[in-house]
Amino acid sequence: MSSAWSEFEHTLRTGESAFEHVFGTDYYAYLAARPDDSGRVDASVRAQNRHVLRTVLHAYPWGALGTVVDVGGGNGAFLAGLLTRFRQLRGTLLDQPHVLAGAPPVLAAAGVEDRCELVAGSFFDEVPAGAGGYVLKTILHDWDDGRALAVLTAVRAAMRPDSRLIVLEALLPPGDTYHVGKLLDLHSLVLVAGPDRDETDLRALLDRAGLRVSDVRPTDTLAILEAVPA
Amino acid sequence: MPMNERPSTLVESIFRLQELADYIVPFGIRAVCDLRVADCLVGGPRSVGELAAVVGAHEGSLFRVLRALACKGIFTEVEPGVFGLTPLADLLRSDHPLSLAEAYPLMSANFRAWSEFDHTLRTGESAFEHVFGTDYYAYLATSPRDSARYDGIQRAGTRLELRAMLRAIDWGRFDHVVDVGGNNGAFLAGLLARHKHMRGTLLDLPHAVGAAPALLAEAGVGERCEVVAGSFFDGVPAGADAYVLKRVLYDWPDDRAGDLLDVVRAAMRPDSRLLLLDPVIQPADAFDVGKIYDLLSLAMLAGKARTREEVIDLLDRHGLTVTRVVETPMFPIVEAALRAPDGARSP
Repeated sequence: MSSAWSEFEHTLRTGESAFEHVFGTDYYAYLAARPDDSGRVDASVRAQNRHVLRTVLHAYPWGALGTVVDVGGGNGAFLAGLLTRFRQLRGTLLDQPHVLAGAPPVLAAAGVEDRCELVAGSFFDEVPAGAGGYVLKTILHDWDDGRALAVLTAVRAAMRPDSRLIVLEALLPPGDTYHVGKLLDLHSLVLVAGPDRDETDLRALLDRAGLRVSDVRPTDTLAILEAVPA
Repeated sequence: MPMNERPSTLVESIFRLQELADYIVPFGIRAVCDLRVADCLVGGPRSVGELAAVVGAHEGSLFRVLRALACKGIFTEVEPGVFGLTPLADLLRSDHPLSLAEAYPLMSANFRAWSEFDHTLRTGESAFEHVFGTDYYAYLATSPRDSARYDGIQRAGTRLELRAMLRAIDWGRFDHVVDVGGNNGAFLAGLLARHKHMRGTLLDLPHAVGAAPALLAEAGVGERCEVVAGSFFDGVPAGADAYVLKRVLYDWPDDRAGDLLDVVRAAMRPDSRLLLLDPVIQPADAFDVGKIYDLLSLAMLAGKARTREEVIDLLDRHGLTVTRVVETPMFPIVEAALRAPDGARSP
């Protein structure tokens, strides 16, 4: 990881991922082949999740969704937090097989494993259909417009007319105002050359996937954008 | 706020810890230093597009880095997409008298060593040697690019040290000063420039003194300074008034540090002085930069910064007596002399 950061200059000169420049493979493919580093990323995401959970659990009527698919939900830490707080909610965790391997203990520790199904797969290909809510938490910022659109299209195809898509992304304040998302953005830039999108860009992207933003709720961490089929 | 003040609430603690543990900002600073972005803003704020064209950067990526740094007070976005300098960014200009532009290079060899820091913690061995199979200074001797970067870091540090140390003691009483492990001579040049009667001898490894003649000439002190290429473990020019060891001793564990002190002691006259300009560890939680430098020395060299008692004890074991300790804004100057024979007073 530090090897990628030490080639930060490459990213600044070209806009390309320093990680790919150093390792010749994309970040997530690298992690799939490296259980050690994958576990570290997992742990780091878990720690950040606690803060995100603290702020977003109260900020949205998650309980009303009935069923939730966390699309690219990692080891399920976020979904476990949702299911712990909303007892009537059922969940589905979708991610790649090597990522899902870490999920059973996380779900069991939270005591929610009987309300959570695991689905191994790529969110570019197919997303489980017919749930009340679909969560994309800090997924879109890792992908360029073409790939992000592919994810959104797969989600859109899985949605019922009354399903909700909940996009959790940092919306950055203008000017010099501090926001941790401005720092984490560089992480995405260096590792995956993820794009820089403001609210207008996000809305436009959702629109192209046949989704209409129905609600925006800022929090101290990630903003909540709710979208419905257009 | 004192650097080690305790936050009072959980949220404050979370923010403080995140700030301390973050490595994104440090890398961001280094990346814009490599591109010399601050130099391009000396004339006033500029648009990212213009900046990117001048420094050869990708516009969108440069914007995101400057945006992140601006939210931490380094650079300021005066209007959307237009950035200017702040007091912190000012220090990243090459033409600033105390410029830190060279202090933060993207030195990947160091970063690779740091990422194996847990090896040092488990074994006490240098993470750098663990990764590269060679010691830090031997590596620098084989890598002109990193050696130049190391030089830049030293130049930047030395500017601050000169400011802190030149007025701290009366250097003028010395006619001949040997800077032992004086790298490119930046410190000695500053010393000689201030004291016109003084002669200097610079001793360091061949790759380290390579840039010295030019630097000394530029400071106008080339004629008063001799450059000696060699290892200070093999010998030090004899009979000078003062021997300076600036940030050298803490690079070495006690046995090697002791070897070096023996070599210097052998070169000293009874009235010579040894001047240690070295990080010294303060007790308990008190903040001092020595505790931070100590980790750098540990990870790269398996060396150590010492407490005042440890320094005095080490000198004592090698026939040297501390004559005084002078505090400076950076680290203290420990002055020592040959231990007088029993019953006599040191001159």
